Amino acid sequence: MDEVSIQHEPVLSVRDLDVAYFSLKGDIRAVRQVNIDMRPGEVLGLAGESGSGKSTIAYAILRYLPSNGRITRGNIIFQGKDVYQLNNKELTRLRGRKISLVPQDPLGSLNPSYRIGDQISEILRIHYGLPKKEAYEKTIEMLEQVNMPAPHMIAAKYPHELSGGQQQRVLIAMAFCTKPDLLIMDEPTTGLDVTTAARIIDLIIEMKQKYNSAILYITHNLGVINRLCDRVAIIYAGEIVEEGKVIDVFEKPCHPYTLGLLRSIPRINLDVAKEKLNVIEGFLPDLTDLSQSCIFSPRCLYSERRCFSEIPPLVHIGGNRSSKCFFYEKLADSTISVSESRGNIAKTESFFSDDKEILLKVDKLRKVYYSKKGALRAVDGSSFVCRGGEILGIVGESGCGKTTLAKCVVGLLDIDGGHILFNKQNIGVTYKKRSKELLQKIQMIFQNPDATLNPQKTVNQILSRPLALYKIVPKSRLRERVVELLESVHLNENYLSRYPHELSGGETQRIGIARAFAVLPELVICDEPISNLDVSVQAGILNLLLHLHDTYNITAIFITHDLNVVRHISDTILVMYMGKICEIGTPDDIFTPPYHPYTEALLSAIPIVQPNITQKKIRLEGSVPSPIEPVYGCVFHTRCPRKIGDICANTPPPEVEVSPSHVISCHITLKELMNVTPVFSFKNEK
Amino acid sequence: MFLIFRKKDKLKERLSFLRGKKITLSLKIGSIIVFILLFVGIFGSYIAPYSAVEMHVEHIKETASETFLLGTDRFGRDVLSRIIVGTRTTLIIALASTSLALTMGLIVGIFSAYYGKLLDNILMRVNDVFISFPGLIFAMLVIGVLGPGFLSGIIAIALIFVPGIARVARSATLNIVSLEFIDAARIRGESALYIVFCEILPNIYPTIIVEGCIRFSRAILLSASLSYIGLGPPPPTPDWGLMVSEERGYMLQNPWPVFGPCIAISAAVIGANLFGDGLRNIIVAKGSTRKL
Repeated sequence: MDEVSIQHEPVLSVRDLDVAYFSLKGDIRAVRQVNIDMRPGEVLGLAGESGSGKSTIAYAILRYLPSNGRITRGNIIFQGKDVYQLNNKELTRLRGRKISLVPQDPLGSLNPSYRIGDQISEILRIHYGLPKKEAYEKTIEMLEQVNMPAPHMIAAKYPHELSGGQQQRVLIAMAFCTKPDLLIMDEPTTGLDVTTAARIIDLIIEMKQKYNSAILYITHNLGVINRLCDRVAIIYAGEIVEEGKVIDVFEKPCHPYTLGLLRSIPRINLDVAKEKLNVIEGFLPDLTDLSQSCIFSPRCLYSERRCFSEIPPLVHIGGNRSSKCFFYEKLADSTISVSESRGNIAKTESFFSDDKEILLKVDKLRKVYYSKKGALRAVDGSSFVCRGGEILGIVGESGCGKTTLAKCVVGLLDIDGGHILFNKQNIGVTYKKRSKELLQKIQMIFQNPDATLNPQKTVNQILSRPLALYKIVPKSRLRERVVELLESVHLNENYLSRYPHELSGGETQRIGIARAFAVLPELVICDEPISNLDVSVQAGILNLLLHLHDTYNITAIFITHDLNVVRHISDTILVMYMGKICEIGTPDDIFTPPYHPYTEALLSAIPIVQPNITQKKIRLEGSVPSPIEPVYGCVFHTRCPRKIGDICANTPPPEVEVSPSHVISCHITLKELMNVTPVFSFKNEK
Repeated sequence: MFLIFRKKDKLKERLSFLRGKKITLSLKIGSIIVFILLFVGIFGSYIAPYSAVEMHVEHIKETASETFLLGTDRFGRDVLSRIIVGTRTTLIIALASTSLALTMGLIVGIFSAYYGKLLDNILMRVNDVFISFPGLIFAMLVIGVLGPGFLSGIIAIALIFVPGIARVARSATLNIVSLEFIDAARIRGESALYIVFCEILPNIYPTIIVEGCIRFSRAILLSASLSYIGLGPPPPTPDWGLMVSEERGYMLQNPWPVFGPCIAISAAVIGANLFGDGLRNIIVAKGSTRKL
């Protein structure tokens, strides 16, 4: 984000680009009137949701569109030359050498049959004609630059032997080894853990400063753009609707879509918990059938008659900004500001109340998977309590045991130790041994929208079955009740005869929610229900869950890896690491000191959107240790930045009660933890 | 279980998905042949020019002529009529054995995959033993025990097919059983029978149907082979394989009684195969693309 020598000759100039795909129904005009200018050393973020055309632009720049795609208008000039006028030889010299691509899925982008070292050397040998030995030395050098431990060993490994973070680093090494002038990164941190992603982003910043490459960073995560990019272009359904410096755009957006997006992301300010998130109503337009109107007008809150009959031009507002809205002035002047500076990130009244009855009590739960290599401790002695009517959030990175914990509570897995008490009744057995009454009371909402519904059943069949099975209503009222259920998740009876493949991800999750709530459970466990959905769709589902929770007063356990979301929705938060609970507290407790060191690291890694909040930078070294190795002390001691000594490795940490609602599992004294500087603070406070 | 019947009603709605799918030449040719096969099988006795068992003593071992379109055999019986009437025998054996095999194989395969662990291991190892038997020899073994005839032919061929179908059903089920809606059904308290028949089966029956069609073509060949070696329905029932084996000796004098049934067998096998193949092109997995 520094103002390093940004010269004024653009490296890349995309002018009036139109890209279309052939299809049986007509041409899909995926990209329209796109203008992009990139200068050396500049990081431009291309932000948009799925289907907005971001990847299309990236592949168009590389002249690598699929066979049914083509540029219908405009041109792409790279370093003065038109990319589409180059012959094959020049094109080969361009791709991989002057323009590099870091694609989204690392495992799919590396050849599984070749060692890492060979794959990187191949690039050097092809583009520079280096002999084998020199190419190998340069490979090791590149691996060191991306902070890979033991580069010689990594070079000898195959892609599947590396972790996701390591694979992504290898891809970045491959991209940078030719010192490209332009680097296109297509969602490189999606699918990585929060702490790993934070380190990858740091790496990208470091490499950018070293090589002064221009970077086109494609993502849907606005928080990452805030951290990494200088400028941002917001793209909606193939058109760039707003462009400008990140600080300007995120502080005072000049397009209703940007405003809607920013408002649909849960915010960090503590005194605005559980507010209703903004949802952008409607669906993406049909790109085969476009009319002369603003592309966003059907979904826009500010649209007027003019918007439906004219396409707004991209207007240059001062300060190097542009917006594609007739009424940008209305937005720029309005007091609707996304990030308020009011309030402070300090403790406010907690929602915790001791008097509500305990619904679920988990006591020293253990779940171990036995294999030839040893015992894999998925959940290792976790204890917590969930009270009636509250929403318990469980947060942690992949492999921490949160899903395993959920499955044990719901009865899909057997437990190896400890107790699970539901309404004071011991339920630590699988679903096969549970009574029907008990099964009715605990239900689950699943993560993957593609797999959560039976593809061969209609919505009506899916929702009628639980109602019929538990005889919730008599047969005559069945259909009526199904329609009521649909309406409670903001769908209507037109959905009754649809099949899951005809529904969007958000709609599928809503049906999943309706199905879980149909049997009138007491406890609903939500296993990352929104992680696979687009940002604006997530907001709708979150609002829905909160609304249902308020209406039916159901207790919920919400599992996620997204701290913004968990802070927004939970009454109590559990932070898990490697099968153990590190910290329990209300959102206020978790987000302000004292922190468990792991919580502190997590909080400092999450990408936040508000540009006026500073975030401490704590990065965890190494990777998660193997859960098979026995651990005698704190599970976090191998990576803890605040490790105090051997006691952390040898003795299990005590549970320190900071307040009745707040417990931290750490050896560090409470006094020291209280004196830690907060992770988040407002810029103008300092 | 009424949901299974509902499935058949939905078939009409589902047939609309045929629009836009690749209907290949194989499917067209295959369907025609299979249709002819079924038609002849049902109405054979009415369309045959002569009776299948009547012996025309004056016209023994005649080659093809206007009166006897494919000639006569050693007893003076019209070859064409025998082929036409014999279609029914072959068809019944092939259809019955395939259906029986599909049913048994499905049950073994689905439950093996659903319960997993020990049951799966045991069933699949037993399955492996059966698969390793050469088909025809195994059929000979079964018929040797049961004695030749219609029913034993059906059972023998079915037993040959069950292991292969079980494997296909098992792998199709394994793809489904790890999906989340199965978990949702389990924690809803559904019985194993319900999950197998109402959640899993509707998702795998297209694969099984295609498998069945291909097995059907092999069943025709097997049925003919069995009767060729004398283990099929006994004479005078007209049966293609039997006709070939009986008339083999006189082939040099009059090839028609041998060629006729051979061509019938080949045509039926190829036609059924093409049909199954074409069907596979239509049965494509749904729901891969999704808008968010």
